[in-house]
Amino acid sequence: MSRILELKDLTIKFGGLTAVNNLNMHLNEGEALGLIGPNGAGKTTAFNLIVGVYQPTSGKVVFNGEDITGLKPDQMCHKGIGRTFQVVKPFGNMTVQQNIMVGAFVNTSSPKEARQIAEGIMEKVGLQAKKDVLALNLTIPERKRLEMAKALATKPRLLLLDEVLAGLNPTEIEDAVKLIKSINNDGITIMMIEHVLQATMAICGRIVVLDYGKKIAEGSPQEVTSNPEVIKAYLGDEYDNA
Amino acid sequence: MGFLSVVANGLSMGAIYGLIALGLTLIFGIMRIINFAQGALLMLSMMTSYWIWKLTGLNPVLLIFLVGPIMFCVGYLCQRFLVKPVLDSEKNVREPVSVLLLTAALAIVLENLALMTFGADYVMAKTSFSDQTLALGAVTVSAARFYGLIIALVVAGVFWLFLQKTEIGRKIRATGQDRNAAALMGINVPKTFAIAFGLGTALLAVAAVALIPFYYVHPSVGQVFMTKAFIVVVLGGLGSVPGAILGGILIGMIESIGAQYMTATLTVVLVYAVFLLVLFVKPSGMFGSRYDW
Amino acid sequence: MNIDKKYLLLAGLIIVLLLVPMMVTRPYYLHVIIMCLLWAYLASSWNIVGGFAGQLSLGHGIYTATGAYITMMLFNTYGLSPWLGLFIGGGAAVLISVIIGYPTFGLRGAYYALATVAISEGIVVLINSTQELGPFRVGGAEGLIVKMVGDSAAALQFSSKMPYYYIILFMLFLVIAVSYWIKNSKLGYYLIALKEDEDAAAAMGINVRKSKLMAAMLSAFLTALGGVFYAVLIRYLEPNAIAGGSMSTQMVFLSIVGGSGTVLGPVIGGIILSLVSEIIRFYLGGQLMGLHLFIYGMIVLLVIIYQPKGIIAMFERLLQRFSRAAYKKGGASGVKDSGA
Repeated sequence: MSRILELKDLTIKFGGLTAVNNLNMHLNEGEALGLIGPNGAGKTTAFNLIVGVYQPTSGKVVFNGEDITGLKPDQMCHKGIGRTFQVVKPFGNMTVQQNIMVGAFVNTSSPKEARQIAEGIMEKVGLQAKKDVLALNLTIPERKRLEMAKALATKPRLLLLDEVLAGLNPTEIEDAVKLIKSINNDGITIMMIEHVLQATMAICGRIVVLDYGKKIAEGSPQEVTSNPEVIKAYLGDEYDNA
Repeated sequence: MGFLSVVANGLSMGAIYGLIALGLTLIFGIMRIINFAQGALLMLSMMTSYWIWKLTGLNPVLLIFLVGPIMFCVGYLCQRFLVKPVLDSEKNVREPVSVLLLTAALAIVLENLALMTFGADYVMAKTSFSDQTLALGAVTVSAARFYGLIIALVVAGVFWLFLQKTEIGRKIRATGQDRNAAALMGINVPKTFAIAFGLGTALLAVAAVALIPFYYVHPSVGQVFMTKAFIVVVLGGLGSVPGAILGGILIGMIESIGAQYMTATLTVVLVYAVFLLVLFVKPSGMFGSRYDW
Repeated sequence: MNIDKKYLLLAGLIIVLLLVPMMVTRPYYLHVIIMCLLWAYLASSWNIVGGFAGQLSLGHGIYTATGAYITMMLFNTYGLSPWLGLFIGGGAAVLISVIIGYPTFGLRGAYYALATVAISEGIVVLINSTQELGPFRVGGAEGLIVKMVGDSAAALQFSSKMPYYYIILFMLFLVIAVSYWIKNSKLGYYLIALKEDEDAAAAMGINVRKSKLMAAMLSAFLTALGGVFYAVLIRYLEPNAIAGGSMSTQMVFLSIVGGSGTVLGPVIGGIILSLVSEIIRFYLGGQLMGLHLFIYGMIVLLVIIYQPKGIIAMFERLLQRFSRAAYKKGGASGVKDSGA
């Protein structure tokens, strides 16, 4: 299995704060990896480093064997990395279909083709019924699905999902998990930041745990959840012996 | 004119530019909006100052205490009734373009109102010291400009102290740093915005009083200062108080020294060229924050 | 059927427009109509960068001046037909738009607005103080008079107003067609996306700066053409009139009041407001200097505060009430509601 993404000694400092500290990890093509850790651990910052929103202070991001460190977000998208935002960013005054078409235009210049691609994506995420609804009129779970749909429309090889399950009730989480698994089955590599641990375990074969910008554990869901370091990071010292 | 005198003149004009830019940078720093009506409000201040002077013959320093509060109220009301509704409707937009447009339209309205009411005549407040010159050591300066410099520096200093030491000053700075946090701390954010805007225009009143003894007043006088104030703000850094003053002095010097060696036209072009250069090289200016835009 | 009726109406409108010069015989009235159309054209050209891309250019007079002066200088000195000169003038305008836009489109909108103001003021100052530029006569503050060569299609000089009417009508159709095409194209979608949320747009592969530049370049070229038309119509170029604040702000105001970001908004704004301005000028005899800009300014203030989508939004609501079929505003503007 080839490595689709590698982070080598990735570091970023904001003034005196080292948000991501010598992060070394990799993603195998086709896998689903969960990135977890307490709040403030640097997970979204790591995402932002991968997609080019931030420039690392040092270290490298290698995608498909190519050093892409420092490229801008739009270039990253063209390379094949798609991402969702933790606080969803729909294009409010455009319809669901138009929102998705924006993503489809990465691979075509024809509005007709873009429309067709959008149709396909809407079917996949289950938003066809709302295709002519303005994005600002959608419910939260619908917005989350739109967020994923927009990224999918760019035909990414790697999809970064940032807390897409936050704010969903159990049924909605179930549906979302099904969707994410199906996307993974289509061959798209997935890395997801998540706090809803059970769902993450159901989707991901491998988990990486961050705390204070450093990787403190890596392995299968079972290995990681029984790791004392991980428990300490989430719950504090007193529970170390639990 | 001796070189030192040229520098002195540049310094005094520059300090006044700095004062105007100060209002602009304050409004931006606190509310994140660019007030395109700053020049027109300056013109309004100048006209008001001129007419009060004409009717009462008051000493300029006293004029400040009269025109200052008037302009503060004008600014406060403008923010409260014109800017606020538009700003609120664009709360979630990263770039409130409508507010820019609103202030630009306000500028046009004020300028043309002045044009209709007072005509295009040029007037100047010929005070007792308008034509005097002072000899300070080796330097000869125009008295009016010198007083202008003093006024500008004093007011800038007082203003800085105000921001740093008073309760209101702290509230303003807090709101500027994080309006949500400020609101959570009990600060009335809309009122603070209005006060900040009012202060921004009150500073214009001071600049106006400093200018009228030696600068001609007419309806489009604001435009000239407006562009320069912006260039100063870009040079000094959006939101930076020392940047505004230093940037102003720098531009004033460039103009004054440039005028000795070039035609007036080329001096203007030079200033704009400096502006473009700053934009290309370091848009955040001397003291501006890199992440602020 | 509804669709046929709409096309019939459109065809009827076009026929009426084509026949106007036959019906309006007084040169003064025809001139007023031509000016209204010219303003509609200029407002629409501005709208491409100001409305579609959401970049507030407050100095678009730069481009009318560039188009007008370069074309006329070439015509006066070398006899180069404006039909050819317009490409040079237009090209220069495009170049300037890139010089202004490239550094500023990555920054806050105010930087771009400010840069346009500064450059346009600079150009006015430069032109005002330049009498000659190499072999070309520029005219400085007294202005540039276009050489009269009598009736000549190649020189775009006609003794009757009629040809001018058809030219500006054609130009207006052109800019409307271009606007409509942009709206429904990839660029149109990209511009709306980046207006909504630049970060989300970038994450979806949009090169924000490049898209803005494309809109700016297109707008600059079309605006320059408007300047050329103005030059051959009025045959006298005065720096303040063609490059100054009055020209720049009017383009903005007309578009905003009509409805920026739409295809027909600026057209409606341009026609209605210029008519209003002309009527004011007619009845008040141009006595009060600054009156018409004052009124424009007040209208814009009111529109921004109370009706930010412009006059065209009001028209659309009226139309929606009269027709039950969903009214399509065309392409990526997204006025398809969830219910109605």
